[in-house]
Parts: sequence; structure tokens; C-alpha cells
Amino acid sequence: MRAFWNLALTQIKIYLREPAAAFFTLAWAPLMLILFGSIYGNDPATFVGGYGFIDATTAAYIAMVIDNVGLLTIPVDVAMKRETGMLHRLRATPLRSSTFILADVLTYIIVLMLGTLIMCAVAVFGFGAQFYGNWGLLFLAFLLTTFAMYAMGYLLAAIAPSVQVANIFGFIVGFIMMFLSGATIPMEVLPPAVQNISRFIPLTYGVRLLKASWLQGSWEGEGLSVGVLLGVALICSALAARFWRWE
Amino acid sequence: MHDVIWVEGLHKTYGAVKAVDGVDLIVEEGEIFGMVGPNGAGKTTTIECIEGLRTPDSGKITVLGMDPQKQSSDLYELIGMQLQGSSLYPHIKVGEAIELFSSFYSHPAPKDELLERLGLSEKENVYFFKLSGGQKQRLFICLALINKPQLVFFDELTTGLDPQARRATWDLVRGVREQGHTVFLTTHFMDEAENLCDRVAVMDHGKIVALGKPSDLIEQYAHETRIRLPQSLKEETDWLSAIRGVNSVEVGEDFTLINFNNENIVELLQLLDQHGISLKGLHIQQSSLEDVFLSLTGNEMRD
Repeated sequence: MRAFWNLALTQIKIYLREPAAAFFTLAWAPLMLILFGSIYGNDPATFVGGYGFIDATTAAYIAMVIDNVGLLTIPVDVAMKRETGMLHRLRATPLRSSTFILADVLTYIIVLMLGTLIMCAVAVFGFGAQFYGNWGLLFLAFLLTTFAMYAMGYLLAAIAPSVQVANIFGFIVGFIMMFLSGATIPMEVLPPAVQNISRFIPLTYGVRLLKASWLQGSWEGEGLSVGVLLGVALICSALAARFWRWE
Repeated sequence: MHDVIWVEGLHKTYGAVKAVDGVDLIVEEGEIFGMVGPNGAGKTTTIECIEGLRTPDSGKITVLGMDPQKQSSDLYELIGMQLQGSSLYPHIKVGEAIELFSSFYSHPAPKDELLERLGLSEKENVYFFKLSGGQKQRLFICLALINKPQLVFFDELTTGLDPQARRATWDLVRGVREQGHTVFLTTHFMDEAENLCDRVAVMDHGKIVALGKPSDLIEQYAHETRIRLPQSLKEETDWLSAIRGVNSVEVGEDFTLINFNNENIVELLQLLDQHGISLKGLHIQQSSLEDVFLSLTGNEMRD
């Protein structure tokens, strides 16, 4: 247990020391929120389904932060640990492989939670965001979306032959999902043709589930979302484990 | 004295390449055992199979009485490793790295003691990426010694270091042995093997081609000594070549090289003197492990 906590805490510290990762995890979503919040305020808007702009956006932005860490950071970060020989070095200790993986995932979950909390704090205290939902469901939606996105991130890291390729994979998948899932641009303003594409993007279902949890406090009619996220999470985890390399 | 490492019939193939092709060796307690060979000879594959980081295709390996492939977690409590081509998080501090790795072991050495021993006390709060090559290597030695291991592996420990850092690293390795640990190292520097190792295995094309004390190997495979005189002895070649023990004579514009068997040196010098040949500027070149290496593995360039 000592090894597990030590590894997770050390990795969190190191993560936050790396300027680019820290910026995109902790500052990017709050800055976007401040930018668009200053433009639209929190008045009910038809382009976010009649909810207050900030209320609806904050829920969607949680998915954006998850995407940021899961796809823009994890593939390149994990591939880096492999390519530089760090994983190789850790393997030459009594540390168990499973302990490493769990501590590694926990690292990215803790930094994600930090980023999410900062963003929510800006929404609530800066723009008076209202919460109409269910905290328990929101937390579950958060975990489920994170599970799915992280599994995709680790899979990309596992199959990428190099850090550069992992970076490209992460950018392509991460940015497509960020902009076409409703996480950044509300689904309601996307043209119908693009909305059709969005149906095939896993993060779309994360955004739906997070918004349903925040705005309605109910997952009614979200069976498909839960199914897609769980399916992506399990399949990608299994594939990531299958293709995982320590060096 | 008992065997710390025992390897028999080790084979490892990557695709069509026989990286390790039948290696047998025994390492005894308290010795510094070296493995030398050109790049691609199979040194790293061999050491990593012994460490349990790779799985051999066939062969038996016992390290401290354990099977390194099956009992790696138990074995790693007792051995230390410095690996080739490994790294740490760029933004980890030296002290944090030691604390982190300490938490993986049941009985780690105190951090301050390790830092002091490796001369890193002043670098405790410095990021890994800011360390020099020599400092990084010392940190890796630190990590290899963190669990007070009975057996330490060093793979290409001094590659990339400047001559001062190399000498300092040798002293560290000797210090490790003086504390009663056994050392297994690989190197492609012959002077390093000759200076540091009690016994050396010369490896080429996945096989051990010679094994023994450096002095014995030199005796056996490179018993020639070379004398260089700063004058041309063109007229004298015939009788010089006829001297007992002289293998060859090479004459240049302003120098002469005489290659001869070690034991005849006094006799040869006396003869030169008797023939009125000045011994001024005479240079005697003793054979080294480098000559053993070249005579065993050939001179051609390898990838």
C-alpha cells in the first residue's frame, strides 16, 4: 500500500509540475468558461435547450476536462513513460504491475478531479451556475465517462509505436471528440449532418449523461448512453491490456 | 564461497537473430564479474534474462537460489539493478526518486546515507532532467543500491561518461564490492573490464568465446609484446626475425616494430644492445584485454 500511495502522490506532483499538462488540465476549461460566460452570461438560451448557458455548459465542460486528460494527455504521457525506459526501471523493482497500473490511473483521476473542481468553482462562484440535478448521479456519470475515455487513452498509448504517434493519435481522437460531442460546442448548434456523426462518438454519450445528471437529476432515457460508455470502457480496457508493452 | 548466479544453456532468439546462443556461466559470491563484447553481442539480453526482465527461450538460470522468471518479486528484494536505456520522470527530484523507490522495498537504506555515499546530497532538490550524465548515472547506482542488495547488476554503467566520471564510477563499483556485495557488469570498454573485474567473459555472436581472469586471458590469447624503436632497422630485419620468440618485424621510414613472445624480453634487449642498436626512445607495449578482445572477435566494424 505504501508503494501504491507513494507512486500516485509522486506522479501527481510531477504531473502538476509539467506546465503544458497542468495548463490543459487545470486552466483550459475555466478559461473557456470565463470567455464564453462573459459573452453569454447565464441567461436561459435556446441553443442549450432552454437552460441557463452556464448551467448547461458547466456540465458539458466536465466532459471536456475528461477528454483533455484522457485523450490529450494520457496517450502521450504513458507512451513517454514507456519510451524513456521508466516503466522498464519500475519493473526492475518488487513493485507489482497491477499496483503500478492502479496508481497510474489514480494519478490521472486525482488531477482530473482537481481540474473539474476548479472549473465548477469558477462556474458557481464566478457566474452563479445552478445545480438542478443529483450529485450521486453526477459523480457516477463522471466516473463512467472517465472510465471510457481513460480506457481509450491507455489503448492509444498501448498501440502507438512511439511518443510522437501517441501524440498524433491523442490529438486526432481527442479533438474530434472535444468538438463533435457537444462537450465544447453545444450539440443544439451543430448542423444535422454533424449531429449524425456525433452519434458515433463515445464522448457524446458522456456529455448527455453528465448534462442529464446536472440539469434533470435523472438518467431516464439514457440507457443507450450508459451502455455505450460501459461498452467502450470494457472493450478498450481489454484491448489496452492485450496490447500493453512495458518497453 | 557459493554460487550467486548459475546459468546453463541460455538461448534467446529474436526473429531470425540468435541474440544469446548457448551461454553457461557461474558467478561466485563477492566477485566482480564482467561481460565484454561488441555491441549486439548479446550482453544486455543475457544480463536481462538473468535479472528476470526477459524470458529465455531455453536454459536454466538460478540467482541467489531463485528462478528469476518465476520469483522476480522475491528476488528483486535482494538484488539491485542499473539498466541500460532507462530513465526517470523529467520532473522528479533526486530526493523524491529515492523516497519513491525506497517505498517499493521492505528494508531500504536511509536516504541521506545513500545521497552522501553517491555524492548527491547537494542535488537532493534538483530535477532529474537538470542532472548531468554522470549525476544521472550516480542516481541510478543509488537506486540499484537502495535495498542493500547482495548482488548488483550494472549494464553499460559508464557509457557516455567522461574519463573523470568513469574513474569515479569505478571507485563506486569497487566500494560496492568492498561492502561484501557481488557485482555483475557488462561493458564494451576493455580497460574498464581489465581494471575492475576479477573475472571476465568475452561474448561474441551470442556465445561466450573466452572466460577467466583478465591476466590469464591476456596470457592465453594475447601473449605478444610489441617493441617500438624510433629508427629504421631495414638492414637488420633478417637476423632480428631469426631471434627465438620474435614473431614478426615491421620496418617503416623512421621506426621499427618487433612483435615477440612475452617471456623473451630480456634476451631480446640484450641482443639488440650487443649489436650496437641504440635503445634510446624504446617503447614497450604490453598486451591488454583489448588485444584479447580483438584477437577473439576480429577487427571489422560492426553495427
